[in-house]
Amino acid sequence: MVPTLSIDELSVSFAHRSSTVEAVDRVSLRIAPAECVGVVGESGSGKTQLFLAVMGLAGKADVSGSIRFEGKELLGGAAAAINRVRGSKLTMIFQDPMTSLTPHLSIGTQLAEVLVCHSGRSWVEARALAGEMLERVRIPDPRRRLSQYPHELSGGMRQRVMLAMSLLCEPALVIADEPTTALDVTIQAQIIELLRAMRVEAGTALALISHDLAVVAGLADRILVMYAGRIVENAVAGELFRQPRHPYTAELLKCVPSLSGPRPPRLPTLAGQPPQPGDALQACPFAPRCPRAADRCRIERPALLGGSTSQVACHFPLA
Amino acid sequence: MTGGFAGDAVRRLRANPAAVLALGVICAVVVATLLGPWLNPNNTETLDWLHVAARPGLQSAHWFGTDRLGRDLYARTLAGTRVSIAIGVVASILSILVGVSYGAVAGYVGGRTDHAMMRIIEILSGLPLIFFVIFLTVIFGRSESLLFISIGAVGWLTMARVVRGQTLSIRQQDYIAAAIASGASSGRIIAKHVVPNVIGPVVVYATLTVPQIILFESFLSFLGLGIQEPGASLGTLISEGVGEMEAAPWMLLVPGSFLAVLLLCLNIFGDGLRDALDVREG
Amino acid sequence: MNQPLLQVRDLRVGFGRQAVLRDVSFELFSGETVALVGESGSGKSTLARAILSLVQPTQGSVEFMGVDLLRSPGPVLRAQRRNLQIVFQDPLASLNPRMTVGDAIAEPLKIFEPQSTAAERRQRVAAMLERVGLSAGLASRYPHEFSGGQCQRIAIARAMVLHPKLLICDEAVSSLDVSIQGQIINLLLDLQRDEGMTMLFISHNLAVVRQLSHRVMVMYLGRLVEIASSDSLFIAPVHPYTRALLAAVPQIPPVAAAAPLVDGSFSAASIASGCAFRDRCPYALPLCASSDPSLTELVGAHWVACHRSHEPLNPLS
Repeated sequence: MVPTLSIDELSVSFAHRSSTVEAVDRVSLRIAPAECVGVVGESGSGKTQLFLAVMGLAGKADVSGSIRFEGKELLGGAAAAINRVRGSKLTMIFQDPMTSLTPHLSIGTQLAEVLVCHSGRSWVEARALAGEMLERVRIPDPRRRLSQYPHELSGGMRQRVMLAMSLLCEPALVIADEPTTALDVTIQAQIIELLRAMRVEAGTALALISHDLAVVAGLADRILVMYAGRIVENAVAGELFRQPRHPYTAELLKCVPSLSGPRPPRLPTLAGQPPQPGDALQACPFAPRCPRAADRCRIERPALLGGSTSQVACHFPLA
Repeated sequence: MTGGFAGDAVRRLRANPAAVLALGVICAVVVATLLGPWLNPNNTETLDWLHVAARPGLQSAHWFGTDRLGRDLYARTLAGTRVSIAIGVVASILSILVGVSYGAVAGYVGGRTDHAMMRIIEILSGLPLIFFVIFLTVIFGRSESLLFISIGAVGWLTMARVVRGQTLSIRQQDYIAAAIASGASSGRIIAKHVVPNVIGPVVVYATLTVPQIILFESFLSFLGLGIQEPGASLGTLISEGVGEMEAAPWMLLVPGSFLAVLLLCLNIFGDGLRDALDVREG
Repeated sequence: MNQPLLQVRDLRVGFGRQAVLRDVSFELFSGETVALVGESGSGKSTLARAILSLVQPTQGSVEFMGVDLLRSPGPVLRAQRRNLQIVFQDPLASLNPRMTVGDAIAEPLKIFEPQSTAAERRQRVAAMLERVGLSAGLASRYPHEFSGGQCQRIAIARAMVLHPKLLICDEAVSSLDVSIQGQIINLLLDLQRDEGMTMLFISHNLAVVRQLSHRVMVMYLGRLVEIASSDSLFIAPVHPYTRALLAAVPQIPPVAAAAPLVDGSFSAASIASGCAFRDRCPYALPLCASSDPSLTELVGAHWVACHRSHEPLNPLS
């Protein structure tokens, strides 16, 4: 079975001042059809840059490696080939619904545009299909919304519109970059519920990027943990929370305050701060903050090792 | 203190070949106006009857030729450029000082004060410039200081508008709220928090104002309202040159090209400066 | 109980149903941390700014250490500011980009202790930097040279340099990485313990709130809907909105999701009368449409604004 997305040794680097800065450092991963993969990391982890590169939105950055979507190589190909796939079979939802929709075009026009460009339908047909999709994403009063403008909708509504836009051409993979971060908790719960329902109905694969482990916990089959541009752990969701193997994952889980259970007098915390692209790194970038770090960690880069269900990049994993 | 910004901006500026070249030319011109007289001993006012309206030539005593009265064009052009640049710089400084204070206060205080202050600017902007200058000239007679005042008095208007706009957007920032919460008075906030953060666009605008002012002064002098004989500015020289266009074209071409090159380079440099600074402002 | 440090009465910002804050009343006592919880449109940030007189309320009073801040003349208000400080959500935006961090921290000193010498101020700035976990040598750097977490420490140092009695934290950790949030929360807890100061902690993150606060106030569309001790609120919330809020927080491991709330309109004005929550409330009665419930005390300092607060309501399902 061909994986929907297959990334090998992908690196994304930027020229900064007089040197090069690596935002993504030789990342390899697979997403199977209809699978939901959660990508978790803090600022500077490279999780957003990774998927911007997949979508061809990396701007001036230097992208090297291989990105195969449904078997076909995306990097280095003709722009026309990427454009056909991007927006139709491979779509992305961004964090800020305020800025991802064009303010001066109506919702209906923006949705219909996708269909007209990618599937060659007429504007009339496309608008009708857009209305149907708005219904599917549970927007109340969908027909009226078609003629409304983005500023007339709340944040939660706009995010539903983005989701509708990404599902219009029946994509094989939807990349959602922090889709609920800018939303209220109660609206976030609705969007998570919606994403869950959409996956089941449409059978699309979903790459869910978030800094919030709990959001990812509710949706992902598998979770990738990123740190300093690399994947440090790749595990089935339940297993990751029950028995994290990488010290960073374990520490991160401890740092998240919970709503139930005992309340410690001080929050467990991780000293130092996550490295930003351009910082000088030791062989294992987590070594300076790791309670288990040894000399080997400072000189030898740990490779991502393991079987098909669980991988970890650590010389002294927890399990 | 702009700290790290200056370093970043300078680096970006250096990477812009057009701006660097323009800056180089401007500096060369300024140096020439200051040191030029040492190279060629001719005076701006000496009348050389033997070489009236002489062609320019490096072999002759008059490198740029002479005018109708035999005055050396090289010396006069350099002197004229000196005057024009001086007027441009001084008037710009004046408009910065007045414009920044006025605009920052209007933008920060807001409300009715702001409204009143802006109405004043609008009224002043509505006055036709030339009539204003002529009016002042009629009342006070022709003098160079009057020229400075009338130009400077007008230049600050747009600067004030620019600064007010910047202030309005800065006012919403959290650090202003933090300063108020720390008990700072309005005066302190304007001086320490508003003004340093609007300097960027002000500097850029000032470099673009200098050529505008030079051009305006040249225009006034061309009309006979500015610098008077025997003084020289690029405007007066061009005015004289126009009269001799067919017989002695160099009388127009020399000061004309100096003016054109100066304005061009100032504009290019101003654009480059804006590009270098704006990235940070964003 | 002794005199409250802060007493807010019938505070209103804006007019009619369009008001951003409506009839807000509460008290803060010395030494406690009270959390203010709410989502967008709840008015919690406006409340913080109204307390600081950064926003002019249309009605009501804010009494701080016995002085009515809203009716005090300029100099009196400014004098009180040394005891009332705030830390904002965006650490970088709350620092003047053209001022060194040392100058930023020293500014309150220059304003309230003008007789201090530059050397004295330098010393106090250095001490403050160390206190918040940064090295004193960083005083000559500019904000853009620091990370978000470090900027927030600097903002806290600036707020604490005059040892205020009340510190308002407006979403102070919301824009920080998870691993850094804990550091800042611990710093705030330490400072509070050492200074004996009172904190008003505004946040939409309930798990963080639970970690920090003694009491919690919940706001919805400009009104306070529930006030209770932290334990009471998290174990036995009463107001339907509070219960929906708690049920919506994603957890590890994930709990079975309660039916999410309907995405309602986001201004009280769109609900012409009665309780602003009624179009999203699973327990709404006809009474809720005609009458706006006021905050009433149930047992033991647990206040709720709901017509049905005395009934045992079924869990949301």
